[in-house]
Amino acid sequence: MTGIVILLTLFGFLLVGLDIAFAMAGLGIVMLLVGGYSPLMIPQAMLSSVDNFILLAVPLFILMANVLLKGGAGERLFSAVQSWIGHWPGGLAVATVLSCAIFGATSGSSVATSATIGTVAIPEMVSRGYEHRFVFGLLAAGGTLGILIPPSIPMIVFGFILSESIVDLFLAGIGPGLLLATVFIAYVVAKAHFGSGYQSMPRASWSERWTATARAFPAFALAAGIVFGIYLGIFTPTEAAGVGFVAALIITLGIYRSLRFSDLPQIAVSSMRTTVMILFIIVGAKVFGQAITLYQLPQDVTALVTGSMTGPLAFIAAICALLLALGCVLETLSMMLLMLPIIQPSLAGFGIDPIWFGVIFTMMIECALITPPVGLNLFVIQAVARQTPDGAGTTIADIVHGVLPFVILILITVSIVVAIPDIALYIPFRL
Amino acid sequence: MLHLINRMTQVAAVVAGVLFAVIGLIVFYEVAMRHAFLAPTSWVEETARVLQIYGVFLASAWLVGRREHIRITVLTAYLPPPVQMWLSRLVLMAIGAVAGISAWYGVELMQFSIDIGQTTDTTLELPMWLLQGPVVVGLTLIVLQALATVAASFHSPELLGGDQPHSEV
Repeated sequence: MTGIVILLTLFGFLLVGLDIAFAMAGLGIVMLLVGGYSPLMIPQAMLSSVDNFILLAVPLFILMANVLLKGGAGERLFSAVQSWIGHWPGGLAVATVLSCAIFGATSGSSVATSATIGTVAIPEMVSRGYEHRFVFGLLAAGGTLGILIPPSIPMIVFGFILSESIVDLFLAGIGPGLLLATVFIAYVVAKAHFGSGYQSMPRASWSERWTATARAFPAFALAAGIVFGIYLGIFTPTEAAGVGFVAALIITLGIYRSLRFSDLPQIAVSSMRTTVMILFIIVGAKVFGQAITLYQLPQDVTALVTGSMTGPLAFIAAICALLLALGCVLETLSMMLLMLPIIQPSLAGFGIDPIWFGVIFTMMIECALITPPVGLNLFVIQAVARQTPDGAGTTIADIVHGVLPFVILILITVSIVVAIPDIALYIPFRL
Repeated sequence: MLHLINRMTQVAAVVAGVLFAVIGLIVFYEVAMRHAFLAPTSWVEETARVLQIYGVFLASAWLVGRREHIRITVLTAYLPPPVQMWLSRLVLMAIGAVAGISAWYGVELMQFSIDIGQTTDTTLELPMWLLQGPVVVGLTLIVLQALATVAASFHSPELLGGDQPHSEV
């Protein structure tokens, strides 16, 4: 009963528009004070939440992504991929998916991926006669590959909350990320094959291909360096982010010369803004998490869930359904910080591998990013589309219409990963 | 007064932006020293963590003033504008209260750490108040910023918020 009151109060705070960080911290403070616990736990919890080396990967990956985004790395990546496969049936759409996957390997953010690739891909695809809604849906969904293919900011937060290895989570994201990209590619190729109305790209010459590839090579190398550096144990995810940030500066300032030193303050401030938005929710969630632990809420939920569910698959199905529903009203990060501390003991109770669950959770977050009314990528693509020559009238409804097939594809891929856990677990544990 | 508080939180935010970039540079320095010169540092990890605490708490008030902390506006967006305005003011007062209570106990915690000479359990053995200080300062700035924004909103209602902010992940 206490648990229900607590959760309803929190939802009440959130729905009246109280900032998520302060809603969680405020409720946590009230619970600690009412429960007669030491109030010094409040500042202590706040301090300990960000006094963490693993979480440093969040600001550093955001900095790296912003440097690459402002430095035009996405355009070079897209041009290179397009020069190789743009002439295929549906080649531009395939190039878009692949570019999203590759940029995702440098950014860790779905917004950065959607915005970066969308800026170059939307005008190109629309000018070649691809249906507007399909293009918008493809870009909104393609951007979500950014949080599944490592590095991934939601996975860092997931690992931080559950005290799981970020490296294992990153490596576990590779298989499902590639599978999802393949599923997207199969869909766009099939759509191109059976649909009509678009013009194929002319085949690029070999010299054009090599030139485009050479222009994009530093960004490719950065993406590969981060993944292999973490996999080979050369550096931790946080160190990879630091190295990636400096490498991105060298690439954009020194090699591409697409960024000026005068651009750096704006990048620093915009990265700081996103970082503090994320980390301050973690500050609030830490106070709330401490309070619900002292009230034994996670244990009560576990007892209830394990008693009423028939097994781990039923539990995962219920969580996925809940995430799909909550994703329509809650922002993705708050969804994680709200749910994970409560369901964590249930994972152990059902013997569910937390790394596998982390991948499934991240894929469901991908759905939340593209489902209305609060799917963030929908707004990002709308903003990008409105800047294109004939996209001024683009509505959210257009993008939602285009993105629905991709939501179904993500759900199918989630089902496959649930059915075959090795898709996620093979690389971190058996390779 | 609002101008002064805005200026303070803006300066704190700029400092935070610089600190995050510095964290990136020193973490890179650590990797370079370890792999290229086989001379790992003993100060980078803790310094980076401390700078992160300063960055997060110093910048937060600036986001409060700009109404950029993430919140859910699915429901409130449908309320009549005057109700939205009063709700926003209430929300800011609540933010001020949460930050104020936390800052109050933060001062108590810091005082306790100073009294017993508490240091971090690391090689640098930094005094704990050095880590607790930015928490207190940041939360106090949030209180000031929230109250100042409420006061100023009576002649500049646009301060109460614009579009829904997002985490951008």
